[in-house]
Amino acid sequence: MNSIRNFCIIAHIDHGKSTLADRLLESTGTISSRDMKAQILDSLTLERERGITIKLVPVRMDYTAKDGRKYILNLIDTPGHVDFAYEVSRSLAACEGALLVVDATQGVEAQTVANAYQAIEQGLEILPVINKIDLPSARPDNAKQEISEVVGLDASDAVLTSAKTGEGVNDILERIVSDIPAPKGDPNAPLQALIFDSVYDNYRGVICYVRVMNGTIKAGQNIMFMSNGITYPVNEAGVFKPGFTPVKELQAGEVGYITASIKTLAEAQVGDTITDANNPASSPLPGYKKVKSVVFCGFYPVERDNYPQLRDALEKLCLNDSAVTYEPESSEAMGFGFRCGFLGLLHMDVVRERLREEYGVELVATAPNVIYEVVKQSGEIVEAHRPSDFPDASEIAEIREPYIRLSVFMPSEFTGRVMQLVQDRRGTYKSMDYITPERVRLVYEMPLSEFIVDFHDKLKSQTRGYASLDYELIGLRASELVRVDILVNGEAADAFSFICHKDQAYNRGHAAVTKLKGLIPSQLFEIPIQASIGRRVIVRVNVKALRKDVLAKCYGGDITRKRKLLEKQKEGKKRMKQIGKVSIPQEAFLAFMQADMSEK
Amino acid sequence: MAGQTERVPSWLDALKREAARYGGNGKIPLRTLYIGGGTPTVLDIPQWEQLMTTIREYFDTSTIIEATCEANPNSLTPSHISFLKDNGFTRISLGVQSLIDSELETLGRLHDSVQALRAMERVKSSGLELGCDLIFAIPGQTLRTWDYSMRHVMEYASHISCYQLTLEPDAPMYSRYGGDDLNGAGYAFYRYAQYILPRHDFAQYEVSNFAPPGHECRHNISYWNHSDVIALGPSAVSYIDGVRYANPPSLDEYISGIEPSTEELSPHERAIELAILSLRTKWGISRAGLLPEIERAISDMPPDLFVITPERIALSKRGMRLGNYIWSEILFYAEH
Repeated sequence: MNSIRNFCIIAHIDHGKSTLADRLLESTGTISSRDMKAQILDSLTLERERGITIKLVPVRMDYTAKDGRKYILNLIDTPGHVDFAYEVSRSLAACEGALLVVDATQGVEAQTVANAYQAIEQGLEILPVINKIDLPSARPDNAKQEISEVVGLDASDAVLTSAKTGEGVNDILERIVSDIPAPKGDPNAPLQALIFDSVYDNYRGVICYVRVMNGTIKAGQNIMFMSNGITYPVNEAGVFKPGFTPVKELQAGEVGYITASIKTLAEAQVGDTITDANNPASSPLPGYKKVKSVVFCGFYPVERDNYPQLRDALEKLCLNDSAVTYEPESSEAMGFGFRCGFLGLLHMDVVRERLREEYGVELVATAPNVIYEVVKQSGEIVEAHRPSDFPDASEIAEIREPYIRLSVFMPSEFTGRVMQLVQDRRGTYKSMDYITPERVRLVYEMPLSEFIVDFHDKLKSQTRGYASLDYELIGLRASELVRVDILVNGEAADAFSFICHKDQAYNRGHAAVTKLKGLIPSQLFEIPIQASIGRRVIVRVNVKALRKDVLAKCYGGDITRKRKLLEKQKEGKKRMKQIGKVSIPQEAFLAFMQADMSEK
Repeated sequence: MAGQTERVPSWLDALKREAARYGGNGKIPLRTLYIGGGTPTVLDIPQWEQLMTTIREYFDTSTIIEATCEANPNSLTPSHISFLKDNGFTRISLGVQSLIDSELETLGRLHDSVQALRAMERVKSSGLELGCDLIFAIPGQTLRTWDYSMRHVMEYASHISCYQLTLEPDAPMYSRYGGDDLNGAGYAFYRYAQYILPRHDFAQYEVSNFAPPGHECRHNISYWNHSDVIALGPSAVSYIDGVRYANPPSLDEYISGIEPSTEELSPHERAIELAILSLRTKWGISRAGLLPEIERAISDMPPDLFVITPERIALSKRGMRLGNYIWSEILFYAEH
């Protein structure tokens, strides 16, 4: 056990985590550079395309240090995005140390800090690494200063490296051996293995990535998942060599995988503890929680007939992403679909992308929303997933919505703009720190609902891409929220209702009716479109009645042409949804649902 | 056929061949005759003789109550007029389009307002009935110039057709004159025509046609009544017994004898189409035997679009402006 080092890499998205990992594998001779490429591309097409590394597979490296001793280095990756904060914490829990990689040209970014704090809190040994020192614009001293200012770590002896050229990589390996403590644990105690990740394989079922804390695990052993009591006999235990390589057993301190013909990921949740069913541990490892969706949206097939295809695709997708939740939903406007829950916006995008790429499902996603908690006058508390779940305004005592603590790192010149942006979205100022004279960290608290609508894009455009952000959920807070209903020709059009803060009701109501005015075609009569809160109309616009639409000429040769034109017009009407006497094209619903409601 | 006068002889041959197909087994009696297609006046008098000989050879012209020839102001000669008069024609339909020179230029017409006035004068003094086409929503046109053209045409003509200039998105004028805006600009002109023409006794008897009662173009009415029509020439469309026959549009294909494409309407389709066509006219449709789905479609629409009597349903003035919407509603109801 003394020769094992379990560590992870904490880095901002483009600070070179993958390249550094590649170098470590190469330097330890674990894999040739050619195979490396193939391996990474295979497993990460989607993430690579999006420029975001979500997760690398763990890998085990054999390393002979300068002291002549042989070591086993287990590199466990942490997801690089805030949506997966819980997964990050579980990955960290499987390690004794972390490389904190900072780009010498960029400095510390929000995400890095959040993960570094977490690692420190979990008692990991942090090894600062300054990367990209080969670049002309590299300022390693600034990076060191930022690390000590922001993260509070002594970075004076940080390793300087260039993952691109390979400079400093051997120093990193030596420091891993010398600085990161060997794992502790009792191989003879009852089994406690932490699931830090699990994936679904079509042939072998769920593969659990585990860190054995105490005891041993081997093929044939009867294991139990402590959160749900489900037991399975182990088919295979192994290590990541890379690739799945069976071993006789995994002992306390080791990192590896097990398979046990487990059918669904839901049975083997990240963070759960595996123990010996015949000799169970007295308690599970700390820190397990069931992941809860925080962002929701409706997925609808573009073609209504493709609903079963979408359902099958979601079922399959959930086999290897247990964090997605879905339940059938029907919208008058869009037919049958699903209300899906996600860990965050990126997670939502990834799922949508996977449905398209892996399952070939073309779908429409409605604008994302959060879950509200409504306290009724009677004291009863209901969860509202969509505007129609809200009780009548007179019954509502209080509405609570999820809040986040947001930290933004950026060059100081953008401070004013970013503050404006956050304040426009109901952010409450918490603190502002100059990390260096040129770089600022802003901390705000704001409603999650304001964050999920386009905030990241807006932030990026306001700061020319220089800002980075991180957030954590800090719980529910009471807000003065209202449901704004949209009436088309006096009839409520449920699909267009939305929830917002009462101070924004007018602006958003105005934006909504104006948008609809552009989407609803003129008809035989004037159509009032109103936004209302309860019975009170706050905005009204009119779609003017159609005045003239006649194609004048219609004699012998024109008749067929004319009929075809009318047929086409009629086909268009078929795809429309009637609200009262008004025909609304489906495209209008789609355009509206996908709309950015914050546009003023 | 403008610019292709050397091909007139072979066209006349092809026309004769086609006429023979219809009139081979005894002459079909004609009620109306319409020589159209833009510029039949490109034919010289001997060619006209040949054309009329063909028609008389295969059809019974003694039953004709109305015979019209289309003409352009720049190609209509006094000799054409006297030929038409001598050969039993009753009307000339003249493509005046506008009496404002700048508008005619914008339209790319070959005549100016003086030629148009002169041609109208000649037809009127010949005693033939004169129908004129006018165009509105021309770039640069104003209600004042529109009023000017209509008023002067009314002095000569007993029939006026008003067509909106509609630009297809690929037409060069479309982008030059702001496309959609221009196409949307027709409302005021059309509404004004609906106002001014009836005040001078030119009743609107169809979506785009105005005439004092008794001067309607009976030939065109037969299209809207689903009467049988035999049409000869390239891109001509005949309608016989519920079947449409459409000749190939190109002169080459027509001359080479390519068969017309056919389209047979089911009784239901016929009923719907007849309703839609009849609703273009001021007489509207008879309610006796009207498909119930059409009645329902109409009763679901705003009442100000229709003039409804116990016997008939016709479009109101506003209805005439919104015909496309109304007709597509009828088609929609007819399917549900």
